[in-house]
Amino acid sequence: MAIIVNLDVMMAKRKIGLGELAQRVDLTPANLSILKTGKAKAIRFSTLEAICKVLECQPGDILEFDNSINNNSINNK
Amino acid sequence: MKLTTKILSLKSIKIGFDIVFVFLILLLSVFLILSILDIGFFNITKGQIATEVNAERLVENNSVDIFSSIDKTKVDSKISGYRLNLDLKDSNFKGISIVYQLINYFTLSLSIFLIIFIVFHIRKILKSIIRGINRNTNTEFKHCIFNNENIRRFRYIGISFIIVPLIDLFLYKFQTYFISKYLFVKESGMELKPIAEYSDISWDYIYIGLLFLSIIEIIRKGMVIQEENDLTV
Repeated sequence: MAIIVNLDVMMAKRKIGLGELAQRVDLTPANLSILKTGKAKAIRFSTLEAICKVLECQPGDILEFDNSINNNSINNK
Repeated sequence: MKLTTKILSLKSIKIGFDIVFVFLILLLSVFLILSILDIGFFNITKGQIATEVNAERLVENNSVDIFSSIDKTKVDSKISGYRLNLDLKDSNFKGISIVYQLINYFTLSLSIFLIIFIVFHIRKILKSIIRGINRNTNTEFKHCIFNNENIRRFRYIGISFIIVPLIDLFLYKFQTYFISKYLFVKESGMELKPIAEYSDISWDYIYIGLLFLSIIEIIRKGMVIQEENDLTV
């Protein structure tokens, strides 16, 4: 996917572990690791809001768009 | 419906199919044992063929003259109801009638086996549905209803349902061919028919089979939607 999730960077900055973050945003650790490893296909706004609230950041700090991967994934789909 | 009622009703349906499954297996095993004993040892029906005759002529005269096409000898016949039991004691005939019995028994047991096959897969599908309902939360386990195994099972069930009436049709054609080739009746206006009738074939099974085959597309769509839902955080 062309959207890259930089959750681990933000988690390291705020020094929060995976289990604790999952508990605070009301997600299961499994779901949070799906998001962290880039396997997620979609994210709800409510989840994004909760993560940004806990990590005290903007969505742009967590989500990034990489144009160079874009062409390949469109051709493959 | 509450969840427990849903699960209970599904489980009771599954128990119904379990009973049918066990009954069909018993039926098939008894049938196979009896037919093997019959052909191999007891020779109860060896040399005998059961046919039917037109009902109107039977009322007029109780005896029917039937001859074999091989050597024009008269065949012993016993009338019981609308049925005519022919006794082919002639040595030319013995081998041929064994083939007749073998093919009869084989196709009948094949039909029963196909129905057992269908019920077996229906039970497995029901089991997967019950397991899928029990998992309420969004877990990472393989989704029990929308998976490739269930698609395979639906395909087996659909194709088996389509094959069953074709097997019955084959049996009917075979019996008709056999009787018309080896036996004939001297009196005109009377004809020998096999016991199996054209109207006994359940053609409806073809529609049911096609229905099962079209459900596969619903499951495929469900798989796509399920995966998307699973990977939504």
